[in-house]
Amino acid sequence: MKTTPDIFEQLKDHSTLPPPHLFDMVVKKIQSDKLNGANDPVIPTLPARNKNVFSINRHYWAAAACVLVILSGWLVYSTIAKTPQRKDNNNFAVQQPGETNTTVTNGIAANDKKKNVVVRNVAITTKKQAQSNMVWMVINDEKIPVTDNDLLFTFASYLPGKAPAFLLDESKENIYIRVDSYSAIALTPEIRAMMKRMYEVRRNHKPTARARRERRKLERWKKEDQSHFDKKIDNNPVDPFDLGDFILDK
Amino acid sequence: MPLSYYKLLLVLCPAFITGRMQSQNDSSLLQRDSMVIHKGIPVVAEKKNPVSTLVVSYDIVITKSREAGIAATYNGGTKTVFADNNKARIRLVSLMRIQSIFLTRAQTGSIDKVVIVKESGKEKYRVDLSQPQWNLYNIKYNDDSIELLEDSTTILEHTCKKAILRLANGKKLTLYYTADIYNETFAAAEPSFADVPGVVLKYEYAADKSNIITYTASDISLLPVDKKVFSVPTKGYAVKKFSSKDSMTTP
Repeated sequence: MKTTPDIFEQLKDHSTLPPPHLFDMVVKKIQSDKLNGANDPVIPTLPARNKNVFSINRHYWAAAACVLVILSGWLVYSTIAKTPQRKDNNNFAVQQPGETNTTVTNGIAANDKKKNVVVRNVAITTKKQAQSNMVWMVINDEKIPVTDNDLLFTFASYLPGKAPAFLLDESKENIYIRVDSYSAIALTPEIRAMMKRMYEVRRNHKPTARARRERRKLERWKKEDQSHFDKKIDNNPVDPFDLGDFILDK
Repeated sequence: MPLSYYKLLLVLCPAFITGRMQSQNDSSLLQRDSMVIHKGIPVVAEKKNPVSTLVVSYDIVITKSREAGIAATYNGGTKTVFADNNKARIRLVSLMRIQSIFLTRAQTGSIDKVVIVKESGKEKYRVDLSQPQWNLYNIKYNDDSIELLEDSTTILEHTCKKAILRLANGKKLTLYYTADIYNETFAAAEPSFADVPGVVLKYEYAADKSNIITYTASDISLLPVDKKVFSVPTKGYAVKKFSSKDSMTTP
């Protein structure tokens, strides 16, 4: 079946070849236009409106990436900031005295060296985390968070099984914790035994009655100490008479 | 030489020797006697080797006849006294509490400014005291007296002499001090050390025979102290006001 109209058959007879140099001229024209910066005559330029759409999309992507980075940063921070402490504890703080690198030898007895646990510069080298009042102490290269400079409740607030090994040491010797260049406090066997009792749990992982009792005792001491030294001005814990009368009487 | 001269020498020499011996006995008797110094009477003992910087750290040991109780949280603590020219700081570090007293002395030597800072716990605070308030804070030392004794012991390779500080209410503090070094700011910072002619390296307070709190120097440093030690913290500390009615109030 013939689908081509007759008119095309007739026109075919009238066809003429283009001039032989025409193709070269067109190629030269295109090249010169490119060199002059003219738009590609073949590919049309995108309208300006489309350009804007593309730019806005790119900004959206950048903003989304920023939000993602911030969110992931916050997640990392919140994970690091989580402590192994109970949420309902009364945390404390060890800050100050200003940083010192003087070569002061501490008073730790030489025969106790084996048992020494060194907390390096709780106050001094510890740096507050961004947007947090948390400070860190380092015990045998392990970072332990201390909030509010309160060592006692920091130790008391460990979950069973999370307490550092030195707190569970059953030896009869003192264990020393270096607080800063000048201060090293001793954890006596009595206080370690008390801590250990506080970590006792039943089979269902809940604190034993004795553990709860020890915790209540510690909280009672804390309140007594605060009401004695923080409420009344004439009681000075730094003074030997005032401190002695308070603690030796209890 | 005439014979009479020899006779005179024979008479005078024994008398001279006997006299010297007598005076030596008198002075040794004086040394054996204790010296009681009351407030306001200048200390006559010689203050040797004044130093501009002094840091002494004391270990706190508590002995109790019955269960330690709250004392267990202070036992093993440290008390450090920093003194550098006209500034001083006394810092108590224990499991229960961390507290400092910052002092600045005026050029006249009197205490110019005092700040008490409680550094631990949720409720950290500072209290600024003027000189009269500081005097009121240490009113118990107003009528104290100190007895300097010849008993001695050695602490950190320093020979220390014994002294007994007595308060007007009868309580007493036994002190051991070295006269080898002296620092005026150090002495001014601790009211109980004010009349001691040296640096106290050990002191103890006994509520009775079996309940005793002892502070023993574990370290002495004459090295320069970082200035940050004497800078009073401000951020995160509530400001309380000193009230003469035996209570601290938050403004």
